[in-house]
Amino acid sequence: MRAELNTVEQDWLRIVTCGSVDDGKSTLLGRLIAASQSLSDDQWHVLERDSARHGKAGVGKIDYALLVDGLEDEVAQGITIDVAYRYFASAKRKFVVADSPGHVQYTRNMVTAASNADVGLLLVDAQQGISEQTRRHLFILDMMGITEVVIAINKMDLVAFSEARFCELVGQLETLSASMSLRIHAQPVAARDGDGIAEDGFANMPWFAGVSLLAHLEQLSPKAAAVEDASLWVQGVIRPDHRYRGYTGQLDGGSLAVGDQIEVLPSRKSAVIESISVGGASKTEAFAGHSVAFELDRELDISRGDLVVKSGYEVQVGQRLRAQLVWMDEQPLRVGRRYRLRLGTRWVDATITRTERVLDVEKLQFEPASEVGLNDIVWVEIDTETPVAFSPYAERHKLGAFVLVDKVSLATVGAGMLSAALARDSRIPFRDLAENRPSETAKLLWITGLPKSGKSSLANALADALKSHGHNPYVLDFSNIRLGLNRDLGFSDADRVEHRRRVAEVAKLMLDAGVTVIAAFVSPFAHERRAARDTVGESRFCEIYLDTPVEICKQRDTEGQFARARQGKLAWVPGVNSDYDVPTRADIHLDGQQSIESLVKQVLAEL
Amino acid sequence: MNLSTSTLNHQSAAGRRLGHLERLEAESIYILREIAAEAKNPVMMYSIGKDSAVLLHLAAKAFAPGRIPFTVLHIDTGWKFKEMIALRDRTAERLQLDLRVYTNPEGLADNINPFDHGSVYTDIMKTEALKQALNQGGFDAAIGGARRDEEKSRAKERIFSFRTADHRWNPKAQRPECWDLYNTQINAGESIRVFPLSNWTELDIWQYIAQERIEVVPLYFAAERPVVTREGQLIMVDDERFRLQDGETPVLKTVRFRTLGCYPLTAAIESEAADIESVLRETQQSRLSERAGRLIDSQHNSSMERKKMEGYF
Repeated sequence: MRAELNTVEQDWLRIVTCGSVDDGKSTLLGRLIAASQSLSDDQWHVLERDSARHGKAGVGKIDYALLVDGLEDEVAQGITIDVAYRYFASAKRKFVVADSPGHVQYTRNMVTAASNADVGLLLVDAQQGISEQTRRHLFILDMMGITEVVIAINKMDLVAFSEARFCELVGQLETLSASMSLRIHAQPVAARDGDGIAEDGFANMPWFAGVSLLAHLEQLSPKAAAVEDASLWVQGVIRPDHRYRGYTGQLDGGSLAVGDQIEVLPSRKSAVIESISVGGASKTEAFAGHSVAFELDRELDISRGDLVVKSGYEVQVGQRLRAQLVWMDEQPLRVGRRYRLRLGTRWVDATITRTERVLDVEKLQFEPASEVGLNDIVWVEIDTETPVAFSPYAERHKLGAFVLVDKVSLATVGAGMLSAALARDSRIPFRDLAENRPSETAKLLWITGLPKSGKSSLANALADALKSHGHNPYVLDFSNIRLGLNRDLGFSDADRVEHRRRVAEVAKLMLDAGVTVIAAFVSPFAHERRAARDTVGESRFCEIYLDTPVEICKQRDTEGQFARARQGKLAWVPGVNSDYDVPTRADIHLDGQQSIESLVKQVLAEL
Repeated sequence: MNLSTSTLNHQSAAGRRLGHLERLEAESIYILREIAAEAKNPVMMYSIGKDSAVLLHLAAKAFAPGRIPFTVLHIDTGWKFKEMIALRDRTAERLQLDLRVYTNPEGLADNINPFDHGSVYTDIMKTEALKQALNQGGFDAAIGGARRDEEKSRAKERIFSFRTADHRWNPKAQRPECWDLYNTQINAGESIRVFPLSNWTELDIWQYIAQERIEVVPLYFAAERPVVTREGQLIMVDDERFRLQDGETPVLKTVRFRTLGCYPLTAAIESEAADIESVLRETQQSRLSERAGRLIDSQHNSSMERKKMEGYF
């Protein structure tokens, strides 16, 4: 019996569900709950009664959706209007499901639900196919940093359980998500009748080689962000008497041990951990997720809202910040208005100084912003009253996520994700002098494409053409960056990230000085290109995809790069033995088989 | 020595994943510390049940070695089980709680009781009493032990749930709650209900009680008790005020309770589970959800939502 009690600790998975109103999401969830055998007798009884009264599954049939639709109005309207949380457990795992609604106007609920989830469960109607909402939901999941998305292709019964239709949709979804950071995995189901939910549900789909939806959710392990350095937002101080002075907070990332040196931000003072307790019990080490209280070896002025990190972990401190913001209030966003901003345990007054670009949800592209209203997703610049410590959300959610609260209504009006601190130069005195203001007109033309696709030739031809139009362009490519500034860098993952960062920073300085920059690099990963875009700012970045078929690149390869890569002698050649994320949202898409002259013309026309 | 240190570091780098009880405990402690830091005058509701017991235990941990920095409030309808009151007083003594017990004085004067007054009884002795006590104490935040898995309308409740100046809940105007960045800002007169156990299930509660050896009311464990059967439910005759109907005679049955409230309104279940291990096993295999034992919930599937909008917890 003891042994049984000692093993009660179970793994758990937090899921956010999303799908359009008619995709059958509630039915699917109800089926999952029923299949994991966590439905009690009286719940069955109520379900049978409610199914008879207002079920939509047909006479005498159980409507599983009724298990998850909650508030009175929703049952009457047949829709879910808010975020609801469900808990169920199978033999292998505990599940926490945030059920978020599928209406266009409820982006804010989906963002709310996704903010506390490990994986996404997205429904697609097998007959209707990929909808605008499917694209939008994927976009939001990606933006929220969800790395794993399970796609339930539902209503397979309506397409005669066709394997071909399933594969067609999977192909479309893969194309759709190619430029995103998240990974997708598709499962065929017919929730109404239980097909594909549990292991016994494949009588109609013998062709499916994978496991059931429930089994997949049981074994899925979302890749935790590779955060090894502990950090903690200080919640408060416990001081029962003069002998004990413990700072409290919930640990994020890695571990914290007695003897570790820590740094306090934004003051940047250091100290050593003298004691740690978890839930009142003394420990030598605490781990990510633990709520701790710790003492330090010296007296520092630390209070609620400070950030504590293990020494060595670099965080940024800034007062002008760039962020992606989801607007959640009926009242439109007002540039120049003061809001209360909560970042970790820190409250600070903040002003949105500029709305850069707002997401066009039809095209899934950011367009110049005019008015920003409920459910809009927008890139903004924020000024905080005092400097704040943070890390980019993409790097570390807990150090980059914030909410905005209106100072009058006290409503939560926005949820945001910090991306970078903006250059301080516009805050220095004389900021209004024209010559000190970074140029807004110069652009960074970022050419991406396979090795030997013709990027450098295009870059040089473009530079010549721009000069003849009175511009002052400069080309950054392999020869002047890899052989100069970045000659200390190799091709490991870490070096590639640093390489990309330096190129973007150099380009940014040149843009500020008014020089148009043409960068020609393979830059195989969507996230690298996006990071460059973030560095210089959306409005100054133009991604050009030089789309040259791999066969042609091989023919042009006089140095034998491709052949050596195939033989395993070269470790990293995108397109051959390493991935290349094909851009799906490039600003300009060029056919690499056309003549250089024609390509240059197309670019100039777009600019 | 060096070796063991490096092994330890290696383990840390790999990252130790917390088990679900550890995660739940850590989250609840974070929430309790948030409300302690952000509210001016917080109060913790104490209903003496198993969830309350866990909540108090977590609060003791969250502020150790200091004391629980909240006033603790029990709304006493006058119809609680005797054993609940005994545990309440024992616990207040042990944890040195700042305990306040409140009963609606008009309800008491009018002898409002569960036999004569039905749902009016709940309104006056629970919902009204709660509002009176909160107003009287000037509390801007009230911490409760409700869980989202208890009931459908609770499943939509925020962890920090905003209430108007007259304590009403508006399910359609809830503040979005992103990450763990709770919006604690309120105007004078308004208040927040805080639910640190939102993400716990009934099974989690029992597993945690077993793991931490938390003392709970003995009524949760099976014993011979005098009961009558009404509309298929077993009601315990806890004192002489119980009104027997014609032909009713209390009989001794081995029963226990999954949830505790006012004794005439709380149904027992037949069970042999007399200790924590058996209760845990029974809960794991259970085919009945716990609020089935609460008579006031079942008149209408959405009766809980109505009560919540009116100010009930």
